[in-house]
Amino acid sequence: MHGRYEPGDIQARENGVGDEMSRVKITVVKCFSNEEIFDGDVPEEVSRYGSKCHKHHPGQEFIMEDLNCPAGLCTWAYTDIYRDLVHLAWEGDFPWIKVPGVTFSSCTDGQKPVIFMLERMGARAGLSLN
Amino acid sequence: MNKISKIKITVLKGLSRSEVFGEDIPHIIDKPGGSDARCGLHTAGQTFISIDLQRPEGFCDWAFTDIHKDLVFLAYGNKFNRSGKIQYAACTDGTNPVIFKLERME
Repeated sequence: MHGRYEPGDIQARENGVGDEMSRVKITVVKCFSNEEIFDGDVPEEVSRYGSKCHKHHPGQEFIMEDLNCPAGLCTWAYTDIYRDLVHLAWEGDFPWIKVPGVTFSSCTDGQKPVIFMLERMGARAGLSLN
Repeated sequence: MNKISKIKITVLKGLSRSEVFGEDIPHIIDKPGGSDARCGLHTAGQTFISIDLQRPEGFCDWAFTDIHKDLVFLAYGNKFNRSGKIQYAACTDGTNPVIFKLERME
């Protein structure tokens, strides 16, 4: 790949490099269980679908290139966080996160939501999952 | 054309930052409140009625966008699970997600 640059690199932006999309790194932060969401009192109609997301676990990492869904990433979750991914890929930042190019997003599965950290490649996250 | 049912939206739970991140809350989050802070707009137990797929007054714009596909699916009589008329959906605020119960009203 070529033409990537550090966010905030004004010189690179003036050189027109910023016309390209950035890659975005997606890290799984947390997978909630049915028990956590329903405080132990899990409704009968949801319990049969498994307590936690069967697709993801904390610490998994994916790289999104050219806005395509990374192999192995849940396509439902990808749809849910797509708006944030596009915003980051096209150099958008989020005012409620102190570091440019980073945000936290979640899938919309209300029974067992998964939280993701999204980082534009090159941005500093400052979060250690270890 | 199929009937569009009303949907009752109940706020089931707002998750706190400590519930999402544990003790290691990223210092880069620039939002008011501490580790116990939850969504500033919605609290557990609030109820709303969506009529003709419209956003109920007072309901978060962002959250409505996030749960809209589930709301439409239910409102047109489709089934997500055994109950046939209930779905649980979350907003996509990764720092303070809110869980909603959507219920088709006959």
